[in-house]
Parts: sequence; structure tokens; C-alpha cells
Amino acid sequence: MRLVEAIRRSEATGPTAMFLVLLAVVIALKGGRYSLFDAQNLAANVLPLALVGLGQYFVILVRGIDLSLGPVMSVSSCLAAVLFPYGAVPAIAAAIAGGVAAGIGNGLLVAWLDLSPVIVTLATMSVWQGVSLVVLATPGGTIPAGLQMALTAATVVVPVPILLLIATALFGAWVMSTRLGLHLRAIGGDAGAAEASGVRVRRQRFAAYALAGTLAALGGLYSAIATSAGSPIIGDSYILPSIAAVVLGGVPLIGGRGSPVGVVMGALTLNIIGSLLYFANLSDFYQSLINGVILIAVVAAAALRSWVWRAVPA
Amino acid sequence: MLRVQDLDKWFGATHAVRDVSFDALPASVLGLVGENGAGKSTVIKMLAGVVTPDSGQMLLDGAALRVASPREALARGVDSVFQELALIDNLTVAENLLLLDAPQRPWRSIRRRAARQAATEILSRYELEIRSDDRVGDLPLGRRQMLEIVRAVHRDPRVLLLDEATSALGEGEVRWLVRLVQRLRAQGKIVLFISHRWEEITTFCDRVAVMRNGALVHIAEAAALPQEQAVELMTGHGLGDAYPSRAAPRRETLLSVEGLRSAVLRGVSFSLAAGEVLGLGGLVGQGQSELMRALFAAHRLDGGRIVLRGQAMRPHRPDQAIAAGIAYVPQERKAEGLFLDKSIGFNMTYALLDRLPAPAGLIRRGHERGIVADAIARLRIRTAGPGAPVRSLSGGNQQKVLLQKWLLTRPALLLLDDVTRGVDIGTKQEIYAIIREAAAAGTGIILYSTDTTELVGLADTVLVLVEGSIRRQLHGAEVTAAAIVDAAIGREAEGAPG
Amino acid sequence: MSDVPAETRPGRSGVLGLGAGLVAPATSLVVIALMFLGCDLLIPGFVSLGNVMRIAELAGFLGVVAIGETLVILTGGIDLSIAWVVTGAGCVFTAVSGGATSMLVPALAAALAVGFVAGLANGLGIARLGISPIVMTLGMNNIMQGLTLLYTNGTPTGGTPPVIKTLATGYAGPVPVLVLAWAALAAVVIVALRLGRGGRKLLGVGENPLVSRLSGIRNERVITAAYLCSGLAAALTGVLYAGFSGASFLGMGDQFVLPAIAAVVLGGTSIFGGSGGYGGTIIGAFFLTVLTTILAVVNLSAGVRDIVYGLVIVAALLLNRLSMRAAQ
Repeated sequence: MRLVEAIRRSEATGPTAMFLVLLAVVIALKGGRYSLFDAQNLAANVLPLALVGLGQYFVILVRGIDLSLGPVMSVSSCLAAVLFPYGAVPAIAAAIAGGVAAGIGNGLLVAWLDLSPVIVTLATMSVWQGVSLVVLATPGGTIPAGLQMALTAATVVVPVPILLLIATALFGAWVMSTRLGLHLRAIGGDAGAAEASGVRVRRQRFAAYALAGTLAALGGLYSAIATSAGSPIIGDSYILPSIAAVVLGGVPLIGGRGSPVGVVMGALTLNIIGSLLYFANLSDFYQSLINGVILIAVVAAAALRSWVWRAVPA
Repeated sequence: MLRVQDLDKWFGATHAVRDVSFDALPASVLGLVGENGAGKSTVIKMLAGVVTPDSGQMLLDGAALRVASPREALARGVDSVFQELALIDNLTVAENLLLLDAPQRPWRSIRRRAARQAATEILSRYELEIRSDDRVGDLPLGRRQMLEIVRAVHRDPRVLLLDEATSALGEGEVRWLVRLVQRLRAQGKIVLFISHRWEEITTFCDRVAVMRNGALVHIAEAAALPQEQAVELMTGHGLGDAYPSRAAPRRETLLSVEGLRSAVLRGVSFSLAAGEVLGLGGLVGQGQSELMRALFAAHRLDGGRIVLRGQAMRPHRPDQAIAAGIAYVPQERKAEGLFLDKSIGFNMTYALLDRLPAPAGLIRRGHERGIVADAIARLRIRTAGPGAPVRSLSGGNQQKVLLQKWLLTRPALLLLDDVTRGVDIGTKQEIYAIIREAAAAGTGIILYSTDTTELVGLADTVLVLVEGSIRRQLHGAEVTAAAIVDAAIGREAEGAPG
Repeated sequence: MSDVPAETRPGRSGVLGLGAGLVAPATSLVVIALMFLGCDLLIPGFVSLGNVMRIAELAGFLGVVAIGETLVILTGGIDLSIAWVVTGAGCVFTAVSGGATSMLVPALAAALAVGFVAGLANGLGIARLGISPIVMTLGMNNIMQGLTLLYTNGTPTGGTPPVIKTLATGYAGPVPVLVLAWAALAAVVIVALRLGRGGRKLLGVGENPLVSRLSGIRNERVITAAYLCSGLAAALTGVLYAGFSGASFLGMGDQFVLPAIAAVVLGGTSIFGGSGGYGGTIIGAFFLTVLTTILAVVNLSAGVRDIVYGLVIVAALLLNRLSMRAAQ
């Protein structure tokens, strides 16, 4: 059956399965009580991570990394909180523009000027951190409660957060189905061969960073709306998880392959593990510890697997 | 017509291409032959936009051909297939073929099925039996080469450059290429063809241009150029002369190897005496490098026995092999042999670090400087000084540094993997002398060379490898170019397509 | 198959590859001089011995942690775990010592053990399991954060023994003790890198691990040693900084990550590994400390300071890259 074959071959299957298993565990721990409301909450909680994770995915796909995506989220979160009194449109536009600008900045430095992504994004991280502090020094600001309700609690046939999550996954899948997606995979697989084959490597790499910045901004925007407040430090807790979501989504750090839907599943998985912590009655202090362990464990597992099959290079 | 005039190119201290001029006519195939490092690939790379000439010009159908990148060359109708394939291994065949122009829907998604069908159509048009949705990385090398060629031809270029594009093709596949090239000829296209296999040159080419040391020394109809004359033109001397005389008598057994098995090797057994030079012959890629690397723990062995100086051993890491007295000079000196951006001194003593006198872990600079200066003088390495970066040296001098690095470890067994590649004639002679000297001193030497003449000139014994196993062993007087070539192409072999 | 050289990184010239590599620290030195001059114009008397010494002292903390970062970046890797290794070691030190001299040795041992374990884990993960340095050290950073939070239960306790306080804040005549200690450490590091066997191996592994391995070097040992040193250097910095502030506090290590890496890169060490040295890092550390000081003196808000700091580093990286291209 073609559908079965497609599922078997898809790179999103593993992460999806992992998420479903963990979800089942959580449901069991809750005594089988899992309502649409719970699913809605899960989606609302995960959406920012899914968005920034998707952005990180595009960058990792081309063998890069963007450590500044966290502060970019903070910037858009603060811009939104500060500008909403002037209207929803300017607030949202500014928030997104901030992300685009960040992405363009990183893209120019890494893709066109060939600077190392690690040090560049560490430096721009400081810049965007500063910008968010300038815009809004302490968490607060005004975000209309109505908007919060609309985006987190409302239901249009299906709860809005779930719709948005699905939209995120679909967006990712759409990008990867285009020529851009194909070229990103090519660049990640072998940038030299891609260049020799006529792919505009610099341009596409730049696009990956620009996309990442924009998605991170969307994540920050949603986070601000969902919590009804902007925060200049909201992004700090998203940097490592954004990479973890990508890795959990089955994407290797050397890039070249991986499914965007898998990344969304990775974000869901990471979030669910947080819930499990809650059930295990572990304090919040364990959260970052567990995140770190998961990240290393997943990558180590992949490394061990290839180590078993590895022959000394001939 | 494609015209090349006074093309010139320097790479650092190496004059890679010297005032080369020739014409390539439509509906014909021009072969370019020469030893490694003669400049043929550089000429092709200039036409393909990968390298820019320092001076000279290129004209295509009367118009100046100035290409600064592969993309520009493609736009002018110049397409190329190199030995380093430009295929992307993690993508499928269809994705590689239609990388730039995959059919898409109004909302920009690629139409997968249409793409697959288009790819299948292309493949069948060129009689290539692979599936559109196979992952390129999973295909055997021969098929990948064929795919690369199909991709280039499909772009309908005016000029097709084939640089060692047949290295992994078996007989049936070569016949496929012959048909393809004949079609191109019939369409009036211009084809340039580089190959090391003389039979291919005579099969494919109408005219042949011979290059030596960066210059074009001869151009003639392929039918009018016998192989011996071509070899003489390529090497600058006749077959059989210019090798130091062999005198070493056989001594005690240094190395004995039994049943070596690996992903590439299939039960290789032989023995080597101290002071003996053992040559490895055969077509490229039959396991010669892997055999040497296996002895050095740079290629994983699945089974077999190695006995060196009477001791059974199985090194798992290169440092263990070195400790046992083995030295390996790799083929890719730039990627595997030398630190290009480090000084000559740094490179020369790098394999010696744990043996240099170093109280409290600090290297005795004076002692080290002495060793390096001595080596530079003895090998007549032309350089500004021991601090000069290796990158600034000519290919020949780089090779001398690499060789000396390993000679300094005083090995009992020296493994030389195509050490005269990309090296000028003068330096080659010097290297031959070094090899003879080492052999005379009792070092056992295993030597792989793509140059049959060199094998004949240097080796006491030759093992001809075919597909990972020893097809023939030739000793002493049996070692002739004809015998090696015969065994290598295996006249009695089956011609099943790869 | 031809002898066309592969296009790798910008080439270098000069003895041991330092020719073009001196461009970056030289540029930094010039800029530092300019900055001092500029400040002296704005604030007469800024360039005084006292101020310079104070800047040197601050640069010392950065300089110590940057020792480890230098070694790690020379191998072609990076250490993003220094933030919480510094904090963790600092917290352990103050908690175990409680400010008492009698507990100095155990506290020091415990703090260095923190750095040792973190560094060793990093090294093993990266060298033996082949985990990407970014992932491994970022993950380790989180792990150290979690462990530190659990250990201190959210509130660091204890104090620093007088000896360490003196080391971190005391003066021997006009020169801060810390600067003297840093100078001694720096001398050891520079000698080890330039003249030591280990230093050579490090440079080789960083420039081309394949060539290094085929030359008989045990790459994994070299890399693990580098990360081990980084962990120890970070732990030492945590101890010293706790001495400087009189107590440890959560997040005290965060301020070191970007500056340490920037100091190394702006000092001329290639981010790809294989060339550079600690001398350049020292200059880079000074440059960044002067920058931080100026930003503090000019009374900008925290946010603006971060922006300027980040932009200056980007500009410096650009300058670095462009000047290397020109030197080819």
C-alpha cells in the first residue's frame, strides 16, 4: 500500500512514534483522563518551541547553527508588548520585522561573509539581548486579553493552538517540498557538489537564516500573546531546547536530511518529558538538567549506532 | 570550435600550465594525455570555470570564453564531468538530475511524481539502468559516474569535458559511453577526454594532445600515434631508462602476510624480504591503497595474518603500526600527508614527536633544528628556510618533505602510495634514488604506482591486483610493462557490465 | 587527481604559521591604544597606572577562563559549558570552605573536581563518541546548571577564605596579585604551546585531524586533554571570581562565555583550529575588558551596553576576516 510505504520511508515516523508513546504514558499517569482541553494546552505550550525549533532546523539543515534565536524571540515578545497599545497591526508587524532583521543580519554575516556561525550568533545574541532590554527592561507591557483568549483558548472547529501547530508543521513541510527545500538538503549534504551543480549556495544559506529569524520572532510573538506579557528574557530558556527539538526530530547535526514534521514532534516530545517530570514530582531545578541530558543522550545514541557500524576510514 | 591560446597558470611555486594552445573541433573528440601533474586537469578546470587562467585566452565558436565560475561555464554551454563527482549523495537520482529545474505546482511545491517520471525518461533515453528514486549515495561508483555523465550530457552542452570520467567504469559501461560519445559526435559537439587508459584514448579519440610538465608537447591523430611514442613524449624518456640500477640481493624475510580480508581485499598473501622493493600494479582502485593502509591500521581488516620481523601483529591504530616499524606515505599528500599551513620543520618532525628529546615535555629546539636543516640539505629541498609553510613549496618539494618525515622514523617497512603523483621529472629521479638508497639499507618497501614504467624500473617483484586479490605475481625478469598490463586488464576476464 | 590545491581556509605565512595570524592581535593592539587615547580625551586622567592595573585585574579573570577556551578552539572545537562550570565551581567552593582557611584545600579540591569532571565528560563525549562540541558543551552547560541549582537549592551559601580574597583582590605594590598569578600561568601556557610536545600535537590535530592520526598521534587524548584543561580553567575562574565578589551567586559565569570565545578569536586563533596561541588571547582579553570598562564608564543602560558590545565584536570579526583575506 502506497500510504504504508510512505509512512515507512518518512523521516518523521520515528519522532512521531516517540511522541505518541510518551503521550500514552502521560495519559496513563493521569488515569486515562485526557481531554481536548489538555491537548489544547499542550499545543499552546509547545507552539513557541515548535516555531523556533523549525527555524533552527532550517539552519542546521545547511550545517549551521543559530544561537541567537532565543534573544530574537525576546525581542519580538518585547516589541509586541510595547506596541500593542498603538494597535495590533503595528505591534505584530514590528515583532515580525525584528525577526526578519535578525535573520538577515545573521545570514549576511554567515552566508555572504563566511564567518563562523557559532561566534557570529553568539555575538548577535548579545546584540538582540540588548535590544530587547532597551525595548522593555522588565517583563510586562500590555497585550489585550482578548487576543490571548483568541489564540490560546478559542476553537474554530478545532482548538486554535492545535490549528496553529498543524499550520507550523505544514509550513515546514511546504518549504521542504519546494526547490528551496531541495537545495537546502543539497547544501547540507555536500555544499561543494551543490555549488558545482549550479545551486546558489550563498543565497539559499542566507534564506535559511532569514527564515530562522522570522520563525523565532513568530514564536516570541505567540509566547507574548499567550502569557499576556512581553519579556526580555523569555528566549533564554529556548536556545538549547530549540536544538534539542531538532535533534529529537531525527535531524543529524551535519545537516542534509530530516523532516520538519519530525522537528515539531521533537518539540512536543520535549514538552511532554517536562510533564512527566511534573508527575515524578521533581522540582523545576531538574528541568534544565534533563534537557541537557536528553540532548546529549540522543546525539550520543546516534553516534554510538554509527560507531558500531564504522570501519576505520579506508 | 573551441580554441585555447597561450593558457598559463601558476599555483604558488608550480608552473602548472605553460603557454598551452590547441584547437578542439566540432564533431570530434580530443584526448589529453600526460602523467599526473602534467597539467591536463588544470587546463580542463580552466575551461570549466573552476580555475581562472593567469594569462591567455579561450574562444568558443569565435567568441571569447571568460568564465569565473562553473555556473558561468554552464551558461556558455561548457559542461564537465570530473573524477570528483558533483553529485549529492543524500539526494535521489531524480533530485540530482532535476536539481535546478524540478517541475513545480502553482504553489511552488515540487511535483514528485512528475519529477520521477521526467527522470526515468532521461535515464531511459540514455540507456542508464538505475531507478529514479534510488539514493545516489547507495549506488555503486560506476553507476554514479554514468549518472554524472548523463546529467552533463542532458544539459545539451556545446562542449563536454570528461576528466578521468571512466575510472570506475567496467567494460560494458565503457561500451555504453562509447555509444554515447558517438551520439555526441554525430550531433556536432566538441568533446575533450582525459584518461590514463591508453585503450580508451584510442577507442574514443580522434586526435590526441600530449602534455608534459605543463606544456603541450605534441598533438596528432590518434591513429597516427603509437603508445610507445606517446609514453616517451609523456615521460620525456624512453621506456626502461632513467631508473637506478637494482643490485640488492634477497635478504631475510621482513614481512609475511596471509589471507588478508576486508571490504575490499579478498585473501591477499605475499611476503617481502628486507631490502626488497615490492610493486603493486593493476588498474586504479583494485585495492592497492587499501592493502597498504590495512598494514598501517588505516583500513579495517576482517581477517588475515601479518608477521613483521618474526612477530605476529595486528595494529589497530596507526601509532601501533609506527611503533612496530611501519611507515605509510599516503596518496593524498595535501589531505592526508602534510599540514599545508604549517612550516617544513613542523611537518618533518610531527611523526617523531614522541621520540625527540624533550625534557619536561619541552622539545629541544636546537636538536630539532639540526635534524630539519640536515634533511632539507640532504634532500635538496628548494625553499626559503625551515620556517616556510609547506603550501609555498612545489609539488615535488612537498613530496620530498613528506617522504623525509617518514624516513626520519627509521621504518623497517616503508609503504609508498603513489608517491610520484604530481611530481616533476627531476624530483622523481631524486625520489627514485631515495627509494633505492632505503632499500639498499635494508628497508622493505611496498610501492604503488599508476605508472607502469615506474613499477618496472623500481620493483624487484610486482603483485598485480584485480578486484582486491592478487591476479599475478611477477619476479625479477618477469617484471615487464606488458606482463603487468596484461594481468591488470585480465584478457581472459568476463565482460559483464559492473 | 590533479595537483590543483584544495580551497580550504585562508592560508598563512611566516614562522609556525603566525605571519598573517599576527594581523588580528596587531589590529586589536592598535584599537586598544586608540580606545585609551579616546577615553583620556573624554575623561582626563583616565589613563592612569591605577586604572590600567584595575583593567588588567579584570582582564585576568577573563584571561584565565580563556586559557581553556584557547586550547579547545585550537583543536577546532568550542566550549559553551564554561558559564555553569564557573558558577558551579564557585558555589561549591564557597559552600565547602564557608570562608574558613582550614577548609581551603578541600574546597579548592572540590571546586577543581567540578571542572575536572565536566571537562573530562566533554572531552570523552566529543573525542570518543564524536558528539559535536556545540551540542556536548551546551548540554553540559545545562547539566551543570541543574546540578548547581540542586546543590545550592537555589541559594548559594558560604564565603571565601582570606587567602583567595587576597589572591583575587590584593595588591603587591602597584600590581594586583591576580595579574601576577595570571602572568605566571600565561607564561606556562605559552611555553607549553610553543615549545611543548603537547602544543605541537594540539596544533596538528586542529589543523588536520586526519593527517595527525596518520602520523601516529592519538587524537582523542589530545582533544580530551584540551577540554579537561578548559574545565579546570573555568573552575579556577569560578574560585577566583568568588574571591573577588566575596560570595558566589547564580549566573556568575554567564558573563564569561561570549568574551572568552571572542578573546580567543580576536586574538588571532582561527575558529577552525590549528593556528593561533595564547599570546593573542591575552591581547583579546584586554581589548574586551577595556571595551566593557568604557561602556560602564560612559553610563549606558544595560541593554545598550549589550548591543554595543555585540556589534563591536561583529565588527572586529569582520575586520579580522577582511584583513586575513588581504594578507593572502
